[in-house]
Amino acid sequence: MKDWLVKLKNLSLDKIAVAHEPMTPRYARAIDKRSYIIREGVYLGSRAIDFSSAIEVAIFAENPMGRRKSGFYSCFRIFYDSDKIPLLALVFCFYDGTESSPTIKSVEAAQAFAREGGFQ
Amino acid sequence: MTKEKKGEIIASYPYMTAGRTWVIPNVALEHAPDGTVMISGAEAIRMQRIVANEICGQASTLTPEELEFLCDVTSTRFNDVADFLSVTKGSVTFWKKPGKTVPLNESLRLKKWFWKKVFDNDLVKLSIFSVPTLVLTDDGKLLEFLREQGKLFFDEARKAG
Repeated sequence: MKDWLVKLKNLSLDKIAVAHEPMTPRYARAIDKRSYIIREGVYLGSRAIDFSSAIEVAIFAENPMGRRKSGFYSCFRIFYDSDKIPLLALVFCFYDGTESSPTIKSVEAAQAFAREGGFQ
Repeated sequence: MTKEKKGEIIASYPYMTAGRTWVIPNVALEHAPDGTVMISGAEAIRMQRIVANEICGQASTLTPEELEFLCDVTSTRFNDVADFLSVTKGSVTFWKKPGKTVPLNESLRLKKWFWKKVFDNDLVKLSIFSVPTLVLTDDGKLLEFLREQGKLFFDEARKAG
C-alpha cells in the first residue's frame, strides 16, 4: 500500500524517531536523512510484524549526487491508531553503502533487495 | 539493539555528523511502543539544531559535509542553494566534492540563510531584533552573535524542560 509513504509524509519530523544504536557516521546519517528519505523516497513494500497496530515499510531514495553513488535504503516501523493513522515512525534500518552496509544505487535494485527482506 | 533504562539521559552524547564528532549535552533516550530504545524525533531535531548553530555561528568556509548536513536538517535541495546564490547546480555539486569547500563569501551568505531556516519558528523568542548595529556590518561578528542567541535559546528550552 503506497499510501503508507503518503501517511509518513503527513507525519511531522518530530514524530520520526530513530532506533538507538552505538553512534557511528552511518547511524548519524540515519538521523540526518530522515526528512530527505521521506520527501524524495520511493515506496518499496510493507510487511506485517508480530506487534499489533504497527507495520514495517521499506523506502529508497536515490543519492542527490546521482546514481553513481549509493542511495539510501531505509526501513520504518510505523505505529498507528485504530484508524491506521500513524502516530510514530521509527527508523530501524539504514543502508548507504558505508560501514559494510549494502550499496544500493537504483530503485530497481532496492525493490529486489526489499523483496528479499520480505517487503511486498 | 542496545537496551537502556527507560528515560535514560546520556550526559555527553557523541554525534558524528558534518565531518566531526559533536558532543551533545543531555540526550534523552525513550522507548517506542514495542519497547525499542530510540532517540525521539524531537530530540533528534534538538541535536541537529545545536550542531547547525555551531556550524553557522563561525565565519569560516563550509565543508562539503557541513553543506550536506545543513541541507538535510533544513530540507533544502541543492537546487535551492544554487538559486539562493544565483549559481548553477553544477557549482553546488562541485563544492560537494571531497576536499572542496564553498567559497568564503558564499559560505557566509549560506550560513546566515541556514541559521534563519533553523530558527525560523523561534525567531520571536530570540533577541535578534536588538542586534547591535556594529554587528550588522561585520559577518564574523554577526554569525557569532547569532550563535550566542542560539545557545541562549537552547539554555532557555532546557530550563523550561
